[in-house]
Amino acid sequence: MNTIRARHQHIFRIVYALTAVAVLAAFTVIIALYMGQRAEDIARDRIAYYHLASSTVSEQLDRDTEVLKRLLDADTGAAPGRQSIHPAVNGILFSMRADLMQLSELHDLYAIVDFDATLARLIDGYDSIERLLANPERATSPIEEIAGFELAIEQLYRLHLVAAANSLADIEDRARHNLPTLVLLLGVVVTAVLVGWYLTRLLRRTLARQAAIEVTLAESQERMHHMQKLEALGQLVGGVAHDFNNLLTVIMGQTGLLQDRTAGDKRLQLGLDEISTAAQQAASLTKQLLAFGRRQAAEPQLFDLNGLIDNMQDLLRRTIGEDIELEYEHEDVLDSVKLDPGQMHQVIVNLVINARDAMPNGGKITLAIRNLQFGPDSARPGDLAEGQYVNLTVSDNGVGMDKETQDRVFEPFFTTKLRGRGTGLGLATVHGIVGAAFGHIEVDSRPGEGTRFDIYLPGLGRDLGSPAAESARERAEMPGGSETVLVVEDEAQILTLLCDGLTSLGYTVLTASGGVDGLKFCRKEPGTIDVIISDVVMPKMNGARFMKRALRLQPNAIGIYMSGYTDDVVLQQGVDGSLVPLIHKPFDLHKIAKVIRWHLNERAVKSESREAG
Amino acid sequence: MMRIVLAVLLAISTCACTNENQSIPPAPHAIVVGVLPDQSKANLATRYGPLVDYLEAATGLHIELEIPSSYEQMLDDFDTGRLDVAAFGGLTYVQAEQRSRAQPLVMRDVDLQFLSCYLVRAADARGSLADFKGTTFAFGPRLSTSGHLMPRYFLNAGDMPPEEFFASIRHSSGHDQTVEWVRDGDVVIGVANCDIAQSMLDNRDVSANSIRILDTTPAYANYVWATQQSLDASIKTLLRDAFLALNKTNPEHRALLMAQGANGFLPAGKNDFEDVRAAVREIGLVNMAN
Repeated sequence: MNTIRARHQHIFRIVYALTAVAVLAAFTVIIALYMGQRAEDIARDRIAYYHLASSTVSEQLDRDTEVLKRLLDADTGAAPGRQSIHPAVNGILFSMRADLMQLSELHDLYAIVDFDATLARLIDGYDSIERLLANPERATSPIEEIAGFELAIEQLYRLHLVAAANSLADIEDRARHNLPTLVLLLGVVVTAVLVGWYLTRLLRRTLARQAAIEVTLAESQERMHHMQKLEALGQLVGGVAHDFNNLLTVIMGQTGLLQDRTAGDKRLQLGLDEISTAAQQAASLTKQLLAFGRRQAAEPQLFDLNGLIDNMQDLLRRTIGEDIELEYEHEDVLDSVKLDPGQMHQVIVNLVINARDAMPNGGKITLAIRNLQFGPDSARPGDLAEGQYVNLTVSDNGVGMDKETQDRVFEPFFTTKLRGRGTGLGLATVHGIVGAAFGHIEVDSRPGEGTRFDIYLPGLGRDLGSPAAESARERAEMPGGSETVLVVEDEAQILTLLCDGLTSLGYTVLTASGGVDGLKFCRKEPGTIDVIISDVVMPKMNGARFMKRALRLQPNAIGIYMSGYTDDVVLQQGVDGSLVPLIHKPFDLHKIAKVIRWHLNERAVKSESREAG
Repeated sequence: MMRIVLAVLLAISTCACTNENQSIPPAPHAIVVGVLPDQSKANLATRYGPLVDYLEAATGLHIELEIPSSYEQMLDDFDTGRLDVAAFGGLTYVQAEQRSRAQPLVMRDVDLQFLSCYLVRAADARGSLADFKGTTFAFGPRLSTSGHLMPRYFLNAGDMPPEEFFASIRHSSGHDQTVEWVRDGDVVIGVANCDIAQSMLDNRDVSANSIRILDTTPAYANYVWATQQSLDASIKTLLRDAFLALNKTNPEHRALLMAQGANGFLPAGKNDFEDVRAAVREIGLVNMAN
């Protein structure tokens, strides 16, 4: 990025420099033109001065010659034949000599006009006049010589006149060339400035755009780092949770077995119930951890929100701290909702934590649940269809949000919290979970007046009882059987648990710690094995490969997978869940007993109908 | 220094600026002098032959006399550079100046104050030009400076546009013909080169009893010796000084000057032809030819 900026700065400098050079060059030429103009003015002045001087002297000489002519005429007229000189003639001759001296000086001053020959002729003419006049024996008056002298004066005068006119014409000619040049140069200056201005503006814009792109890039890079961190953390947490699931399966299974075996002892039963409840809670915790690590297998089920929130109250109070009051309003009898209870748990925790963070100085959070009926005419939030709904409201009297924040509140990675404090994923996850359950979530807030989240979930009938009650009923009806079950599991504790549990229910149990061992049982004789239960992720031969070959050897057997991983991972192993049922870990004995019995009964019904047919 | 910088920059920055001085042609082998063919070749040869001989002797240059076949030919020859020096009439000079940048060198002293004369019969008693309104009038040849261009220009300036002022206008083929037309009563009034009219009177080619000079135009410059602008400056100076040195006190010169009808030669400049240029601008060469 910096190299790009540096390059742009470089281009900037070049543009500035070029513009400056153009402007400077143009100004230099303009100054030169001005100086030239001044020089020409001086030349013009000199020419004018010189011409004035030469014409003055020439005219003076002309006048003197005229006077000389008249004096000579008068002389000859007064006394023909007498060769005397008028006394004034000498004075005139003196004046003419002075004039000629001045002309010679002008010649030195202004060498451009080459008038040597003419000046020489003039001086010769004068000399011959003087000579004639000085000769007392002259026969005629020097009228011819004087005429030639006058011609030379006029020639000299006109030589200067023409030279001056030509010089002036040359100067004018050059001046005429100067004007378009000046206009052209001014044009160059203006163009250079305009082009420079335009280029700088263009560059500045490009730079600004570049900078904006850099900022966006940096932001998205930071976001990616953040996500990668989350991803890594998620993998770690998911891995730990998976191992926990295996342990919990053992705890829950063995507890179940013990409960059956010690049915008479009330005190022991109470203790075992406590262990069982704690294990259940631990299982739901690992489920949340898996959800965070994206390894969760969502298991939507019907349940009563009241029960869930009752169980969560202690957790919530601990979460929000002592400054904040938690109020819980609810109807006694609620419609059931269908979604993964662990995910619902996550929704509630997220909303409550957000409410807490909106009240740094304490306040009140209200959790309210009620049944709702949307008829055809009632106003329905979102695109919800008409029907029964359960409405969960989480409201606070905290700082609130402006409209802009509200609009973006469900966007992934949008957070108003300090960096490192929030992932920006909480409300996005909430939105996703609610949407997946065919529900709707809305936010209503005003700065300084608190925030209220409304969740609408489809209501699906009543009277299901609490999960605990369901568990007790199920436990009472743990079905058994006398069929042969093959269990393949690399985890020894789970293998032991299943072996013990299923044996106690009357089943004949074969165990194998891997697919290769399992196949040995299957090869014995078709029909000797009724149920094959296999883990999915195992070393050497995975569950899917094993199951495929085992069912080929024992075509009448029922195959069941069990796995602590998400559906995605299971599918990656080549397991087709639609052909072979899958049980998620952790499970207790009752669940697996029910699944086995149900499938065996199904098979029996099918074979009976086949025989009947 | 500034001048040099300026010149260089000008040369670089203005491509439109053409510089005629850039190529000085080598000194011509011989200087070719052309003269206006306003008389027969024989006459011209007698009139100018001795002058050219004198110039050769005075300058040390080899000079050739060239007599073009027509005015147009002369202008073309000057334009192509065949002629280095030419003795133009006023109009042909202005044309050559416009076409080929001819540069005046010298002119006869009489050319500087040249006059055209309005001629009437001696018996006609009317005293001024204005009295001849509605009479018949004769110009010299159409392309003549003194017989047509300048008189027309001055008549226009005097608010006497010839076509309206006179009843009819005719053009003679030469100044002597104009004089004869007036003498013979073919026209009431005519205008001609004063030089020629005066010499006809002086030589008694026409009797002073039959015609008289009614009036003259204002003075204007007419004939001129001009050179190519590109002709070497030293050659120009040599030629000029040779012309200027002609002096009546010198017997040899006197004959030459007599042949030229001059007392001597004077330096000539472009400004001397302002009147002719103004006349050409006003009347236009197209009107001159028609």
